[in-house]
Amino acid sequence: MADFEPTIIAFVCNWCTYTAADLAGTSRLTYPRNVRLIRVMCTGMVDPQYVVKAFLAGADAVLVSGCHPGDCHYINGNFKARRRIKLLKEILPRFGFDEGRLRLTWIGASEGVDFAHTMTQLVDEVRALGPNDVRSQMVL
Amino acid sequence: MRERVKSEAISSLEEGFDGVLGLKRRWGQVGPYLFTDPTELNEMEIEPKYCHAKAIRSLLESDPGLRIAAALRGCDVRALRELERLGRIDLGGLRVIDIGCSHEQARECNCEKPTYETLTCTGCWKCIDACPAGAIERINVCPILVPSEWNEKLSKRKAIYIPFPQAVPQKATRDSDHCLRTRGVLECKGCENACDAGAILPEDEARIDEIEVGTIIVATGYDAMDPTPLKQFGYREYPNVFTALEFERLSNATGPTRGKILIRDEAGGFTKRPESVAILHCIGSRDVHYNEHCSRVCCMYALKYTHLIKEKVGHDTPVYDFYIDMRCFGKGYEEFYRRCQEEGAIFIRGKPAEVTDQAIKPEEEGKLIVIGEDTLLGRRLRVPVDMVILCTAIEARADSTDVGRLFGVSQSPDGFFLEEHPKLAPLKTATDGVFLAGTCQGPKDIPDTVSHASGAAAQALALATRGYVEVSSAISWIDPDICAGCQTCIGLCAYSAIEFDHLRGVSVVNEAMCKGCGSCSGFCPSGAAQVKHFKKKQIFAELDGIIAAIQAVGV
Amino acid sequence: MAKIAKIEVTDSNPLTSLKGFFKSLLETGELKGLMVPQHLPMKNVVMPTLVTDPEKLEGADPLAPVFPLNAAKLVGRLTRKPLHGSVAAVLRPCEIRAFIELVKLKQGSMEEVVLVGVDCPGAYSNVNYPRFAGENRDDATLKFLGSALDGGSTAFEDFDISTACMACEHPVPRNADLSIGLFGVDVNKELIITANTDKGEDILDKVGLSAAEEPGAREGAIAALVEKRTAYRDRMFEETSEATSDIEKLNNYLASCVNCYNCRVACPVCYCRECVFLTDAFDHEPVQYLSWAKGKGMLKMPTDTVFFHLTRLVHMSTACVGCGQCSNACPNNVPVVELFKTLASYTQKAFAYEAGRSPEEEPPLSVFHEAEFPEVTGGKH
Repeated sequence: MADFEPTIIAFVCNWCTYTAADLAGTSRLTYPRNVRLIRVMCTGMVDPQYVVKAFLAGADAVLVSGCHPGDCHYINGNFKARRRIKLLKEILPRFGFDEGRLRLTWIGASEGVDFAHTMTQLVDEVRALGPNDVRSQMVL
Repeated sequence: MRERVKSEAISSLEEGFDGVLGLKRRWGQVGPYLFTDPTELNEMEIEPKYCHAKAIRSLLESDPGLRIAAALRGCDVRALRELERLGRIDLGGLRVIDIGCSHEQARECNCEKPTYETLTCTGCWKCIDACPAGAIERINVCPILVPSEWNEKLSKRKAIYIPFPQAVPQKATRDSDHCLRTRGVLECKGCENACDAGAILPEDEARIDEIEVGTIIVATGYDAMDPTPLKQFGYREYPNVFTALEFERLSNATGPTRGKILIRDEAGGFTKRPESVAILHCIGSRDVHYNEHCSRVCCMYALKYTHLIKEKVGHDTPVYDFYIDMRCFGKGYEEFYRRCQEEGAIFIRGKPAEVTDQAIKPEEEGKLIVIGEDTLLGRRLRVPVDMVILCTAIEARADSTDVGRLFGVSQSPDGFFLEEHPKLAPLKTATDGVFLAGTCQGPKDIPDTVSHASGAAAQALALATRGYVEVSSAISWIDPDICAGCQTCIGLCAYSAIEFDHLRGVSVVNEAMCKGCGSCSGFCPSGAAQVKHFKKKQIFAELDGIIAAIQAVGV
Repeated sequence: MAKIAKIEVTDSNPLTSLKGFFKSLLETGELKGLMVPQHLPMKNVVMPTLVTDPEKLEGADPLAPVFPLNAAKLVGRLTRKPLHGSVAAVLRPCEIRAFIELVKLKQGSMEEVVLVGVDCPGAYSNVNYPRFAGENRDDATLKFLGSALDGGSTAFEDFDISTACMACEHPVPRNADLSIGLFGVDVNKELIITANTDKGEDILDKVGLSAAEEPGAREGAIAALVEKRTAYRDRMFEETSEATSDIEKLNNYLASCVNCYNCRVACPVCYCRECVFLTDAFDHEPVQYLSWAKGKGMLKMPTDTVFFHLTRLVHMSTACVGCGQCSNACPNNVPVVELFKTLASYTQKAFAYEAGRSPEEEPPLSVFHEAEFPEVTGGKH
């Protein structure tokens, strides 16, 4: 499993984490290529179905990342997202998805360094968890 | 005026005063006259100015028990008080009926201390004596003294004041936190009586007006860093360590010293000329412990100060500039740096470690000693000076987080407001119609601020003149064939952009109000509510595409 | 204090007395109609009927151990727009709790309905009830009551009441306007009617029954039943958790699902007009299937079965009342209710929510607070 390279799907808010990722890029910061970003306008538009779908499609981890509480571009979308992730964290681990595979973080638009750091850390943690069982299973 | 003086004179006589000293026209000339008969008071004059001090002195000296009232001007009273201080007379039996000098009179006398008509003022002059000359505007009768924010608290202002000489509109404002009247301490009407225009409304209060606008320019500026925590530089500990803004007021013609560059004497008054000055750059800027950023303007204003000191205090006054790097990047800036060098300013590369008053050499006695290192020469230095100026950092305002949230603007790591894009949209913010101008976005000098603000104004105007706004195409839509009418989306919408159509039993998005956040689509279990361009099918396709690509080529 | 009355039972036949009570409810003139399960004349099937004529209640039998569907949705259909008059609905406790969930989702209204709940000893599945009852109607019901109410067995031949009923910890309709008590009551002599709300009290006054007190044995009988069922439920939770503890096991658990979506149609709280799995979001391009198949060289068809169940858990586990109609409706015997009730116990607990407990409780995903669930973001707010 040493050569296991995790696939991580990150749903990132256009106004903060996506901008932070952009900043990380323009600042020439590096972070592992294992993370694939899906830009959304707000974490509040992340349907829990997207997370479920990502896992079933074979993602080893899913990250949802939005604005810090109080900073939401759309007032309170991130609070709604938090409840939805809470719900998923009650459901998915019961079916063997390690809780560490689903992450909700707040990364502000200016936190390019934090973004790169969080991605690096997440990839390391997921690498330690090993691949999502779905990879070896036929699930759809 | 005349009526009031007369009525006070009548009541004084009624109260048993022996007489009222005033002016009376006799034989075609106005001169002093002691009125003892109330009917005579009709003939009392108050103009022109006439010095009564001598008359009162001789009256009181001849009969110390005399109880008289006198219609007096401020200068009379000051003269009498001086006589009393010298022990020549006792003012115990004197009642002052004050005559307010007209502006014309004050100008004619070149008087800095006219008295004014006031019901409560006793003419004691304590308030004005406490004030450094000129700081109290002539129209101002207010007895309250408050440290002047404009002058960096180096002088006092009244509770009714014109905030600063260039204020627009240039009108007086009442500081209700300090005014005796508005605080309900005293029925003071000094300012109301003095105002010929009747512009001071007794019951006027600060109020919040709500104005509906289409665009907003955030120009909330910056905070100058308080250098007190940097104890090594001795701010507040040594009276002659100043911040850059304090020095700016000291050297300014409308400042507390009327533009004379002076330092504090032992009593705290600004009386002494500095014989040498040190300017310390980068205090709190380019410092990992405080602000990592460069405040951008300090090098140039430090050069300006250097130049001003040379010009105003004397070209022989040594000025030491302790800098890390000289950043003279603008048009004409480098040339100015060169000029200051040619004027004999001493530039030392190296941020000082400490400012102290602990002398170890005779020439350091009574001086502030700047301890540092000239990193170009590799030599340690002790520079004794009379005055130290700290070029304090430009910081984001302390309330930036709250203000930013109010306008939907986020902050960069240094705390300043974050522009939408550093190169392509330096005036815009993440919120449509909200623009940034000036130092709220980051440290800027005046030309840059003017450019930035002009750009923001133009962009705001461009939106306003167009008369309509384009809404994003990425807004929500609820499929009426699928919507079950649970109305949960209505409760979740932060913009009240969804309404319930009772006839059809479905929720409907108001496209003009929807911002496209997708709170509705994130919940809607049937997928009736979806944000255009972020539809489920599109996100699923994106996901499938990512996974397929990874499976095809590895990570 | 709840108001309690009793219905006298003659000839040891509580069903006759109940029919009489329903008739008198309609005859008060306060109601425009009464929804009650009846044996249908053409075949021995028990279905909810909406009765406006007091004489059309001969087949009424809310005690028959079967409910072919959860009637909450039907009450929703009756009440989601103004009726300009009230109806009463005779329901099982799980139906009332589901209806309360639907009211929160604006799929029905409490305004114009009197909810009449009946103590529920459980029900057989739609398949097993005909085997139990045969052509017997009321007699079968009385036989079931006789055995079930004494704390005796509900098993018959090789089957028992459905798993959902065995694991049901809410056999008493405490949030009905009127609840008809069977547990701890000698149903051959009397039935206990409790008015839990003002609305229930008003109509009970109009019927004019004699006041009564709650029989002393009732609380004990209920407690014993709930204890038995809770024990069964907890065992079910454990077994189900074990049977689905990883994705491979979950795959096996759901293996026979054919995407018929019967479970979601039967589910009283699946309120969508059209399930998202039937919308264009799941209208995959033909090449997409090939692309998926390429991933592992083989693709199970139909697709999206596990995805469907996980999505449904996300969508409605917080509203699940555990009525078991999903399992009842499944053509391939997927143990759906076991899975959903197990997960619902976790998700509802996580939000300190209980489906159907009170119309005042807001569905977990319809609200949020600024400071909550710090553990979701690793303790950071």
